[in-house]
Amino acid sequence: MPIFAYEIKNLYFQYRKEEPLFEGLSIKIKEKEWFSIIGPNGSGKTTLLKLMAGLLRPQKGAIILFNNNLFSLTSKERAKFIGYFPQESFFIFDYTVKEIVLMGRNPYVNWFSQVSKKDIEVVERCMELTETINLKDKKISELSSGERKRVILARILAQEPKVLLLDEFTTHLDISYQLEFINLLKRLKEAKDLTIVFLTHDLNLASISSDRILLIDKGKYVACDIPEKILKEDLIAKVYKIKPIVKIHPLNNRPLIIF
Amino acid sequence: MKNKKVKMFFLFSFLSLLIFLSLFLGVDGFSFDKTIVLKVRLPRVILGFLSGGSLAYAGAVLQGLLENPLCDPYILGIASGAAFGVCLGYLTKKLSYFFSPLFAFLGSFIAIFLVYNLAFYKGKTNKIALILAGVIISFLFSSLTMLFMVFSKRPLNEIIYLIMGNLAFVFNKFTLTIFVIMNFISIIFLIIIYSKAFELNCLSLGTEVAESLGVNYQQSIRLLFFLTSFLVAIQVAFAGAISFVGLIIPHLTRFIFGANYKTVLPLSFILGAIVVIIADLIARTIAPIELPISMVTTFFGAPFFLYLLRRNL
Amino acid sequence: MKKFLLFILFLLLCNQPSKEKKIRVVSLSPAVTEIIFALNCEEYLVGNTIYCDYPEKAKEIYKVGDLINPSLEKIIKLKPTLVFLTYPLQKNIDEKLKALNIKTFNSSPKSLNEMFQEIIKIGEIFNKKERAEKLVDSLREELNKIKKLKKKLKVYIEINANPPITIGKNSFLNDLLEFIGLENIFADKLTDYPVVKHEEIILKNPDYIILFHPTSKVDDVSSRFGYEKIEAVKYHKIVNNLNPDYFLRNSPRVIEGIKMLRNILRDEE
Repeated sequence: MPIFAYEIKNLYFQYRKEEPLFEGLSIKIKEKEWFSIIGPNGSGKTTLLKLMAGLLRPQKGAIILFNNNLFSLTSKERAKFIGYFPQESFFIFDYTVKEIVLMGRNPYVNWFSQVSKKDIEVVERCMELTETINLKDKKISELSSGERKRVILARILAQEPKVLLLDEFTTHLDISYQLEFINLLKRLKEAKDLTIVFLTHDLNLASISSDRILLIDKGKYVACDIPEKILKEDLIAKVYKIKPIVKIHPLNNRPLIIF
Repeated sequence: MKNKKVKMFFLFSFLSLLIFLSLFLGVDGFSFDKTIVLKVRLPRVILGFLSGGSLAYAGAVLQGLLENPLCDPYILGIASGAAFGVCLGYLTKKLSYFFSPLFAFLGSFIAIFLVYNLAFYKGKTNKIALILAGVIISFLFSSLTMLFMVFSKRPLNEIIYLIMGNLAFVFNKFTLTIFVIMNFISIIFLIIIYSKAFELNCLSLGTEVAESLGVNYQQSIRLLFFLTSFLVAIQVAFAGAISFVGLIIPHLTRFIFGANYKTVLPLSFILGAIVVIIADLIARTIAPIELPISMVTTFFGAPFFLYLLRRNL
Repeated sequence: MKKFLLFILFLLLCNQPSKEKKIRVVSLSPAVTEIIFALNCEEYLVGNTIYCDYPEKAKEIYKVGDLINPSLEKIIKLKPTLVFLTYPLQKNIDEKLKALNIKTFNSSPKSLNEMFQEIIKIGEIFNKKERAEKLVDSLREELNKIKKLKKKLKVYIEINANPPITIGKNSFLNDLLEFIGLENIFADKLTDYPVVKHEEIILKNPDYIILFHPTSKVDDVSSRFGYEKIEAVKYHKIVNNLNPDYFLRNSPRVIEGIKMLRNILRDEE
């Protein structure tokens, strides 16, 4: 009997009245799986991720996180399960890298904001894992885009989560960084038994990284299966309205989508 | 680390020297008259210390809470409410001036109440609603105060000085008691806010990020809103609305000591206290007429901040 | 027909405006209003300010507005032959009126003597010089009855409590005080209504404190920290029952004011 990281049952959500986005969406995400969500702009990917992070509340339906009702948990409890990587990051104050990664320990610091030795240790380890340790005293404004993303990743890891919810974090990164990140995440996933939910526009990245892919269009469930069954010419053409050519990648045997 | 300790030591010794100077310096140079020093200057320095510190502290909190580096402590309408409160005090013709801090506080209280009702819906709010509500209430009370001043037969100097900020409040036993009680409460509030320093760091990253890091946003914003508002109200009641301190000092502190709220909060307090005491010293010794303290803080604060900005760029 | 036309012409001639100009004055100074009434010339007064409240009848005169910003429109509509105002407060109003070719009279006496001279000048304007001279004589008589203090006493006058505002170089009031033998501790300040520091008040140690603000209570002053040292506080010489209108308006009532003050000081030599 597999353990499910997420069980989304009959999800019903709308931002405005008369404009429902999700109407009865149900999906199951297995523990330790790399689960990607793809779909054209406006399909509701980010909204779904925010719902899964507990940042938005559905009007109807349930989200079960490791057998807990997501919304009966407190903010702090949720933060110990879920590491949410937002699409955009904006820092109004110039914190140092170490200070930012330390913020990931918020669910663990005591009521008087006292940081413990363990917190410092976790932070250091997370910075080592993301190769940001030598940046630790630098200000966030001095970092490059890729370095910044690694810092945010370190912050999320400092939460010691079981699930990572990543919202298109590969945007603004060049191709070498993108692949580097995917590999880093794969290593972390193995090392820490993480479940990864990954939103992306890049179908090829989804192809090489995922165990399963969910394809949604305008809030409607289209298909959810292994990459070979999702990344097929007719399915992609139907949803993206562009006819692709799908080949097998010569090195990793995953579907390769050419436009 | 060492660098920070050196800076802090320098800061504390500077503060001590400043307090010494403030107590003994007057328009005609140094004077050691016991009555003047203990009964006139000492309360003034204490008022400056507490108001400068609290205003800077509150400004720092609001900047993180509302995710806006341009926030000052009066953005939520507290100072306008205080001015209006004093107007109400004038209506009860028997107002002895010792009651005016109470009326100012009442006015601020009304403003806080109105902002809360405007900004919070079903117990929830967000930074935009709060700022808008603050601005609306600010304008409301400002215009009511102006209306009052136009129709009043007497020149309402007290209100003008409240809006400009002034540390010349002379105490008697009654007002001193109230002052001590209120500041006692202030100190408790300062400590409670300090316990949330970590959360404030997270809050400055944005509502969603803060929530994802385990901050209960609605709970935090509600608590911090009330604590900060009362903190500011208490100071404005006695010292008026000293400008610039709440806005600039937190940035100065971040520039010197870094953005972590665990350092920004206490050091903004110290720096705020220092700046206000210096400004008051200048305001009352440099010219035969006492200058309004906000004039001094702005006059020296603005170019200094420009210098900081240049260096930053 | 001819008779009819002559009749019409006669009627038209009768309706010509009379050549003799009537005296119509507007007073923008409550003090001058009092003087006009004291001279029984209120028939010529067609307009005054909302602050012109003495005597009672002055309140019934048409109001043109306040002291700082009276309605020029209302003043013009009254077609005044002269407008009384005071400097420096109403300097800009004077300039505006002059630009509209309206005659003005600047009433800003700096001493009792100047005030007496002004009363006579005002009397002349109404062709009542004799009446004015009589008034001045009776006022001077009253004045001469008042005994001057042998020792000069220092006085602090407060017109606002927070922040403390006093009367500075207002020479008229200082002249009044000098007449009795009192010295305003802040007479040397550069402005008319300077804001002072509690420090200064304590250091200058006045013998008397006069409170001219409406909500003043003696306790409010005597309970201030640091004031215990002051002579006036130590010997309970704080006066708060004087009506400021009897001192700050340069009108005949100041004589009454001086008498009241001298009466309060009757225990002093």
